[in-house]
Amino acid sequence: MAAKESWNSKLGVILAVAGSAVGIGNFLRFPGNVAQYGGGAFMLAYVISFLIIGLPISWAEWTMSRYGGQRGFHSPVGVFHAVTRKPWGKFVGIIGIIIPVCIYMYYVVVEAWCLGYACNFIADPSVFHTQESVGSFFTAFTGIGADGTAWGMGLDHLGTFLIICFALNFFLIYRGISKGIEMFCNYAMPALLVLALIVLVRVLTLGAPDPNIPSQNINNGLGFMWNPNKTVLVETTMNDAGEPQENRIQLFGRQIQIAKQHFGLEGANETELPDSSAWLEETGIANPAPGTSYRVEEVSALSQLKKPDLWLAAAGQIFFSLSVGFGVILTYASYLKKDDDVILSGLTAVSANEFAEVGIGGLITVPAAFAFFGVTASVGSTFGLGFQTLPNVFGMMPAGNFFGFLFFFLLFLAAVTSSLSMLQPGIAFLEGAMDISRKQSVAILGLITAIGAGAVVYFSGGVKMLDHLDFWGGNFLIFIFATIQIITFSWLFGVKKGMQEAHVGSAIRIPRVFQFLMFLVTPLFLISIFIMWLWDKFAGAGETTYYVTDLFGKNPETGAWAAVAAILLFGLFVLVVTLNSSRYKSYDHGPEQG
Amino acid sequence: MICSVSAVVLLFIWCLVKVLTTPGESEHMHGFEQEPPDVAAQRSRDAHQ
Repeated sequence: MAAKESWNSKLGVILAVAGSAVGIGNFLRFPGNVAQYGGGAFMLAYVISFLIIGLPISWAEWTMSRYGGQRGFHSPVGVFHAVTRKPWGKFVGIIGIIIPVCIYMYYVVVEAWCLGYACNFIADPSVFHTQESVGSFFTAFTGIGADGTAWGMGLDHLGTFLIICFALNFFLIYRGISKGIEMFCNYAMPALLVLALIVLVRVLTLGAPDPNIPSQNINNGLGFMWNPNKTVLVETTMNDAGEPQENRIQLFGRQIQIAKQHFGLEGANETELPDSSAWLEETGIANPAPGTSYRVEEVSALSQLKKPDLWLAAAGQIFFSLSVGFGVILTYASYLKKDDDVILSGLTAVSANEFAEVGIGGLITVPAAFAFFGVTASVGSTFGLGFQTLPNVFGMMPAGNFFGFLFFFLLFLAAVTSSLSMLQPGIAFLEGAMDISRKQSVAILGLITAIGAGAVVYFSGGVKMLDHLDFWGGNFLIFIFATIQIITFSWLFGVKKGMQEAHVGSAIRIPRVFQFLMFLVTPLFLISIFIMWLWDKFAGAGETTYYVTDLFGKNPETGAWAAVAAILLFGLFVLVVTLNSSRYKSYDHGPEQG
Repeated sequence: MICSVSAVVLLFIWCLVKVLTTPGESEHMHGFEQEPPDVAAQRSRDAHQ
């Protein structure tokens, strides 16, 4: 009996760690980022970011958090106060409160989308059977067409589902996750992984769903996702002002050979390929329209890797996915005991997340979208891919309605557990700083996030507020906070002292090379990416990202400014609370807790 | 692709093996599943009201 209980507890803890690691980002945000930023080159940046910044900062965060928790601090503000022992430390920690709360404001909306889609797969699956119907459903449900159009009750509107999600989240965060719900979630998350594996096998055996378009197949879809080098057909036309405009279309397989033959390029196949004339006619290459010209370009991985946007997105995805730089680990690891294992806990959570993200998520969404719908459907926004293309893929599969319901319902459960973890930093902060009860803290945070989520739902046109909260909170601020964290750990706390602290209670040792990485490579790598990005956007010749032009361009977007206002106003609130709190006035942290 | 996928699978399996074969590790490993201590305090407060 004792041995069986031991195996049960070991499996239980693995399920718990895996459950807290896996979220909707693995299956929705990651594939969308890969497609948006060019596939294989993004993966190169992603892998490098994982090794140099994701893993080291994760360990640093777990360690600093346990250290702060031992001294009675359970929020990012308190942990930074304890670790830095400087007057400014607590103010830096404020970022770790702003990030999870502001992200929660849109995350709960995405959670409601998942629940809504799951219910519609049961109640009215016909909406997912064609591209047109799923597009119409997505537009009506999310309100992406215009501000103020998302709210409404009924199966095809967001209102009911958002109220359910919000109420559920705050009921659970106030009451705490009861043993029953905890056990259910502990098995539901691995069930999500098992289901994802089943979907993965189904997708990888699809071949070419439409025999009339053999180039749209899984192999080419995987190539689009993973191949760092690309061959593109560049179509140049003139706009009304007489300025040249370029449209880039990625080529695959036979298309590359036909194009190279036509343009007499190096590497062209000597033998004429069958049906080449049909493809040349279809693309317009054979008889270009007046004012239109075509050329073929080889885009190397190196040229793509020179774009700072790509690195910022890769680093941002690593941080978001691993919950690094979020403030969440800084809160939860503060509850650990002195001899709890932060290294293996951190590594297991990271590895479970990467297994779900790269091993499963990276092989499902984009290749399936490519096989069914080609390049244009595979490239686009994160949400378009997850909430238009993927449902349509399910809609076209045998038994797809059942799989679609199960997939989105389990994504909803994954989103619930992630939402709860995002709320805890704010709750712990308010309790500690204002010396109030959990009930009062939950009430205050509930009001703040209800206003924020309401604004996200209202400014739904182009999902502008959601998109900007995701960028400025979920990419930009996380990047800054993670950079500050590694500098604090390595240069202020001291990397040697930090490593000693990390190894307390650990079953494994961090490889020595990580000490050098954490001290020098990681901080400099992050600072370099940031400087390159700022230079590219504000001083260089690079194309300005729409995240900046939406704010400062000729036609500013109200939703974009609503997102920035939410971040700044909440930040101001947290700053005022911190300034007036007696909790952080002293550096006498009292005895260490066991 | 094969390298990346293989690497993450192997890393995950290695972590699982380490947890399963290290004595007492299940008591010292955690994710985000721990219930914060203030939840118990709030429940106690609610029960007495």
